[in-house]
Amino acid sequence: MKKLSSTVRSLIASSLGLPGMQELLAQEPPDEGISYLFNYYDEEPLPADKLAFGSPERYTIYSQQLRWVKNLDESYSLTVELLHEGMSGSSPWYVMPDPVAGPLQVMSGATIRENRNQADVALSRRGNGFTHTAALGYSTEDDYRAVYGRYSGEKESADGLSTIAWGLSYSDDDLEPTDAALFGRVESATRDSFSVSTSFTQVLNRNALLQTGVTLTSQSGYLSDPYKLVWVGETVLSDSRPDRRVMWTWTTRFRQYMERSKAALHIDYRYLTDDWSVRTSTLDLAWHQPAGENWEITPALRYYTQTAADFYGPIFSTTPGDGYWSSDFRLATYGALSYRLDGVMRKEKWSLSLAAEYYNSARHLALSGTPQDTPALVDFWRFTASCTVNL
Amino acid sequence: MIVTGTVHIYRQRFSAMGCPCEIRLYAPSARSAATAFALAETEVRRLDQKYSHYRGDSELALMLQAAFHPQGVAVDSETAALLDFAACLHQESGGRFDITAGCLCALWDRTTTVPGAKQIEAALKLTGWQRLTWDGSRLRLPPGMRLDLGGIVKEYAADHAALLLKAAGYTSGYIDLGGDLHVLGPHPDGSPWRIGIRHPRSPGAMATVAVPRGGLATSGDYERCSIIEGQRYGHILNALTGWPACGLASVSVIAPSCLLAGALSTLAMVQETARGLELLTSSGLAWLAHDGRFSFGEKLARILHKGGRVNEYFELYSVRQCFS
Repeated sequence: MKKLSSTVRSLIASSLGLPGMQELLAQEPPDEGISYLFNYYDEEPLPADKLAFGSPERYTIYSQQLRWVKNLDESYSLTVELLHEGMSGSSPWYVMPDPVAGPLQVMSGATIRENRNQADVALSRRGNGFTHTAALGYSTEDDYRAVYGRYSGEKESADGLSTIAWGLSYSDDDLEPTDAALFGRVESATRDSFSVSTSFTQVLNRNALLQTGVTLTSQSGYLSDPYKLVWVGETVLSDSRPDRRVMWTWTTRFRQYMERSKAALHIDYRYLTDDWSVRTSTLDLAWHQPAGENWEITPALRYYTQTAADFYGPIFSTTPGDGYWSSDFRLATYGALSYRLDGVMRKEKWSLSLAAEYYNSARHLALSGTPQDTPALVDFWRFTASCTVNL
Repeated sequence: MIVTGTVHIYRQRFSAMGCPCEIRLYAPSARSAATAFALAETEVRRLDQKYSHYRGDSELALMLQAAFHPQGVAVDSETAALLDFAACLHQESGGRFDITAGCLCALWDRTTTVPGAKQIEAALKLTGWQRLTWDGSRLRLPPGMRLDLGGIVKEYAADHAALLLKAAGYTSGYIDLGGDLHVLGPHPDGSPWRIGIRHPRSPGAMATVAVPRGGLATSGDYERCSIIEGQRYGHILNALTGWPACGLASVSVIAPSCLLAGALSTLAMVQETARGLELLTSSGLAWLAHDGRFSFGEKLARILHKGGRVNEYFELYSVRQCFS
């Protein structure tokens, strides 16, 4: 939409308490346009005192995304997204015991270089308070291929003050790990993932909005990481995880418009639990502050805490009886804080957005669970720039 | 969707909220159209009955009597939301638009003589949003204050009646409440409705506006105005001075809702001409103003330069183009 003045935005915000007004504003077709996004992600090197051997340099990822939205007619619109990602660096391989320093991280020696390409096409149809979206996508890299589809729907209540949404998605993934014979990795494997979700949004008053929703995700197939090893007893074995995972996610989002400062406070909370005993909580706070006629500045803070999967351990002294083990730091007990600053400049025909984020994870940031030595916990920087041209 | 089979166009005229009203609608049968007209008209009359400041028996009148009580009165959610919206308009207009100016409105409404300074001063003492107590659910008024929701309710009624018709499956037509319109959706062939906007100084239309959907509201100093000794006194008052606003002669705005369109056109009307035009120019919405000469948004200007017909008769393009 063309940039609206602060007066018009205040009027819109204060009219939302009236029955039906939400619907009138929501039924506008999406903005047509092309946007380009550039993302730079850089993990900090592994500290020397945590490294056993291998390269301390971790992942650096450049990604570029092109997105095009076109309204086909009054009710149909098409969205096409293309993504290219280039990745390089070393990744954590396994953890080995050290009698003096405790568990140390072994990194993959050679630098990994990989590219990923993805295409996503979505068709939406609006009408009579309903919005339906169906999408298909394809993602490919040297050793990985995924085909996925999703459907989502949305219905507003007659008074326009509440919205019910639902969705289904399915993904079929094929893996063909590189150097499989050399490292004794699985030669090829498949996994699939199915999820259903529903959410409910309610306008509480003219300044506040609350959304709550649940998602059930079921994954099955080869869920281990073919590139990771685990120290078990006196030897190293391939990462071994159950071939099934069922996850429940509960999400709550709250939006409060602040009349005095004309800003919006966003509070998002997400809870995830699965049958691997992983429990995570994420609390995200963001303050969207308009500045001047064209800018919006958003400082944001996110806290994350996770309990470990029941087959996680940095090192296993004996072979677990159930046959499952992993020392992937992403399955450990830890917590993380991330600090973000976004700036968006909106002009009539285009908008520019810049964002920076610093992420810091550590085992002492975990709120619950029993933190173990996890030398590979990562800190990273992320910078994003994007530009949208309205057509 | 009910776009199966043939639809015909039907028209209904009635009078409500002190002005001529019209509904035009595509429906599969006369019977279906009659049902729709009844649905919309009942809704308009419900809001007229509820909020009219002319009727002594309106819900608003009864509520206001109770609002003079020291404890105030509990207000239903629809009225509460309208009061919240009025508060926003009051703030955004710097106090010039004020629904508490009921006494001032009564003083100027269709008057044949210019009210005296003392009368205006007395009415101003009974005016001022800051003088009432409103906590979002209970309203308390100082004795003698009168509320006039006339600048909001008509637009809201057009939106709400249109929403009822949309919910009932009607997708093509419009509701016009004395120049404040809500367009449900374009003609079945996809073409927008062409709606005339009255010239503020001479009979007939000064412009035709093409609107496929959404709200179109026009405020003018010619509506319900008094001409006393050759001087025009419009019904839109500046609640700070107690005198009719003397900026722009006519303002039309296109927005997703008629309420929003009406609010912006009123905000522009209560300001001085230059400030009113500035408000419109920066709004991001499609607009058209008249003040002896036409003014219009940049988007419209470009369209006109291509099409050429700049003068007395031109077209605003679709809402979608104006928003994009």
